[in-house]
Amino acid sequence: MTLSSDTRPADGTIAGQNAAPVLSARNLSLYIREGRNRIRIVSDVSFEIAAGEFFALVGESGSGKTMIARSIMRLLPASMLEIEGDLEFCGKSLTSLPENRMRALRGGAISMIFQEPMTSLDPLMPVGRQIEETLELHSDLNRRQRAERIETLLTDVRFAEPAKVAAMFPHELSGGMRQRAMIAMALANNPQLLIADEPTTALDVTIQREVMEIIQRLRRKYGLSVLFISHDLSLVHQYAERVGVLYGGVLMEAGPERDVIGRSAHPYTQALLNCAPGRRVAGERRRGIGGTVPSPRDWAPGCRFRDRCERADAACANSEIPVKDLSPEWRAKCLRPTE
Amino acid sequence: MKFDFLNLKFIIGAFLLGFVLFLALFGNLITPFTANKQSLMDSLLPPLSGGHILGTDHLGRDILARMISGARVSLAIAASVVVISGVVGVIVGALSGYLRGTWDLVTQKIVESFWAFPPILLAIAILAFFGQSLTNVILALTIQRWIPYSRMSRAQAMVLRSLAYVESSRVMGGGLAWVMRRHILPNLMASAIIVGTFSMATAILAEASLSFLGLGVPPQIATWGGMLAEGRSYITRAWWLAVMPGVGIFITVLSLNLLGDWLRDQYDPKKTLNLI
Amino acid sequence: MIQTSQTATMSARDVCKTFHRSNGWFAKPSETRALQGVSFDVEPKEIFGIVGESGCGKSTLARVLVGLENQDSGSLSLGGRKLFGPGMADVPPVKRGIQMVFQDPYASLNPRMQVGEAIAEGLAISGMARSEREDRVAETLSLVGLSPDAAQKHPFQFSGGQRQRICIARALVMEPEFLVADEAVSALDISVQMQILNMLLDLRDRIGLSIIFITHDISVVEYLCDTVMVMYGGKAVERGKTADVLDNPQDSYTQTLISSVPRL
Repeated sequence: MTLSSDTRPADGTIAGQNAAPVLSARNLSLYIREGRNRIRIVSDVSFEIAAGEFFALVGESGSGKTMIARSIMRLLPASMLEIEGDLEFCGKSLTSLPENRMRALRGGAISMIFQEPMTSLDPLMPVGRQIEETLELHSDLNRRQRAERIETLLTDVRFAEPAKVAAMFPHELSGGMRQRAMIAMALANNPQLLIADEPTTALDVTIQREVMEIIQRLRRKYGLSVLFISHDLSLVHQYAERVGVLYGGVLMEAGPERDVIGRSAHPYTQALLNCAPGRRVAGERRRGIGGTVPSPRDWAPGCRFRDRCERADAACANSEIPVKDLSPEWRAKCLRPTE
Repeated sequence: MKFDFLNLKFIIGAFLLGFVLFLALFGNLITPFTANKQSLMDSLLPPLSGGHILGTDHLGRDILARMISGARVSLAIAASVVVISGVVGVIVGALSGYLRGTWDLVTQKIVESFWAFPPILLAIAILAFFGQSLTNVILALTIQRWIPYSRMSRAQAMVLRSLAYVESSRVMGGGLAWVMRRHILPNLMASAIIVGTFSMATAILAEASLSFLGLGVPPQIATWGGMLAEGRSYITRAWWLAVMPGVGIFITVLSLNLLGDWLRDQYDPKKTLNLI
Repeated sequence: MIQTSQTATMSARDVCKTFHRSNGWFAKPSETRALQGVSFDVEPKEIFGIVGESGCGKSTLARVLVGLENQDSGSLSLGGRKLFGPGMADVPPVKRGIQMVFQDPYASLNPRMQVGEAIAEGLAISGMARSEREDRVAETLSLVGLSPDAAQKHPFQFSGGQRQRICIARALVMEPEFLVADEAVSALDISVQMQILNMLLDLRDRIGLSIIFITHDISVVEYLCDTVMVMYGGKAVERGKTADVLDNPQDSYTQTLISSVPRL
């Protein structure tokens, strides 16, 4: 299998689960260096993203969700972020890929959008010129074809006047427009996988909806797989097909959205859902979760959530917590998952 | 805040500066001679002869004793300049950045006009106008040196004033003096110390330059710059006259730059890059 | 015992604020009309939500209420006492009886000050004796669910949620009649956000605190607030009981806003 972007289904249909996954992480562990110490920030995470699938990784701060996204793109040098385990993109290992091949993938077959688009757009360059640059890097389109492509891309992200936007500088755009320009740039080279790291967190809800709808539409149109990183359960509930719930660098529960969020089995997922504010009757209180998210420096063996878990007992502290299959596609890493 | 004292910059810088300080403070215990005692019989003795460790100059004065006097003058002038300009600069800059408005506009104009003068020219003008004396040298060197502090403080104060804890202090009734004393000035200290260390090095160079030009402290006080100027005409016959004060200036400035560099590294936020 | 007045109604009338930004010496300065005549009343012991998107003026309103920003016109009174209005000098922030909690719990505490010092800052400014300050700090810390020995620690030893508790303690120690919370839970993890929301509800019940809660998050308003005011473009476009506004929004912007919120 080649890594070029032509390998994905041309008709844009969403491939079934028996097709080779676009991205698979197997026993992925991540370490960062802090002085002479090596701190594990992600432990033994495994998940797969099928072609055309919208997969969401949900977690609070310190859960490792952003670092997983960065490790896929290999954005940090090995001296800062060490990767253990397997990361495969369309069957090819990303961890052993030489840097020059990785560069070809970044912004090509795999691309990424961030929470704050201003930091990933060059303030001194018009939007169109920036998109053109990624096209020059990854494709052999000529000048005219590039101009056409830029127009298509900007129309795809719902700009009414693509030519006008192409000539504008990032600071002339509003937050939502910048994020859309960022998506256009990310999609420039027909990626198979779009990594979206909290892309709407800095946006207002009305703009958030607009951006999410654009991502959804483009996903259908181009058969794009999306790895969506978020802390917002309701957003994930609305858009994701499959969900992984991270806590303290451990994948606590993963499976189809209707299972994980609809009838979650892991006490952490349940507690997290209970934290979502919303309508309540007078006098009633949501329980929330007591305590605080532990820092990777304070992780102890056993289940990371046990200090805050209402179902925890002595067994949760000392044993290796097994991953239980609740259905062929749904699993939870817990000694006492419930329906 | 943890300081890394095993750093080579710190070790060398502190050792050299410690050596200069030791000479300035206790140098008299090493040499029996005084800085201005002439002995024409002993003129131009090379180092390590006739009991003169660093030799004598054209008037037979002991170079080590003169070096010690020079170290005192240099360090005292530089330290006064740094402290005075630091206090003035930090206060003016912090007020500019915190108050904005008219005060800021006026001080910025003053800063700009001072900055437009070549520093040594301004110092010469002041000394020519007010006459040569220790206080006037300090004044001449201070008059421009407060500007880097004020720029740094202004920029930081502008950031600090919009921080929630400063605003919260205002909501709780904190007035200008309170907010300055409790929140703004303590946060400027680290940067001020770094600027001060580098500024001390340039102040020593500037003082030496003025003395070299004969515009520094009155000529009866031995200074490194003055010794350098006197030694210039003997450089082919008696190299030590010019080289010794040159070495003095060199190691003092080097040690201060090393320490300043080290301090800057210590306070650099990038040092504690946090990925978690 | 920390107490707040339980009888003060806050009334704001026609509050206006325009920001002028200089564009250099020769260009016309640009104007942002942040508040265009905002009026509202908040009853004692009420939690009043102000919701809107970025740039709608909700934060400017908060800053005007506590006195961090001067209004151009309009009036504000608290239990019959005028805080600002035509023909009078503005009452300075500390005398208003309104305290504020800010969004970013990391920027809200001076890293150099011990927590006890930070909480007692307002008391120290007003000249209260140290021993009395320490008693008040200990009492307030327990009110926000922290142990009294927190007073001797520094902010970096606390998580975001704990810091926000400290900031709430710092506001409460001044015994305000009103607490203005500007996006006070937006920067927190959701597991911690719920703890703080519940604490605010408890504080209202226990010490009769009235709260103006400013947020962009409709679901937080739904959970916390008795009444809500929706702001758009510097104006209050809708106001009413939270359930009424959310179930039956009248204004077209409110309708768009509510329909955009993803639901669990």
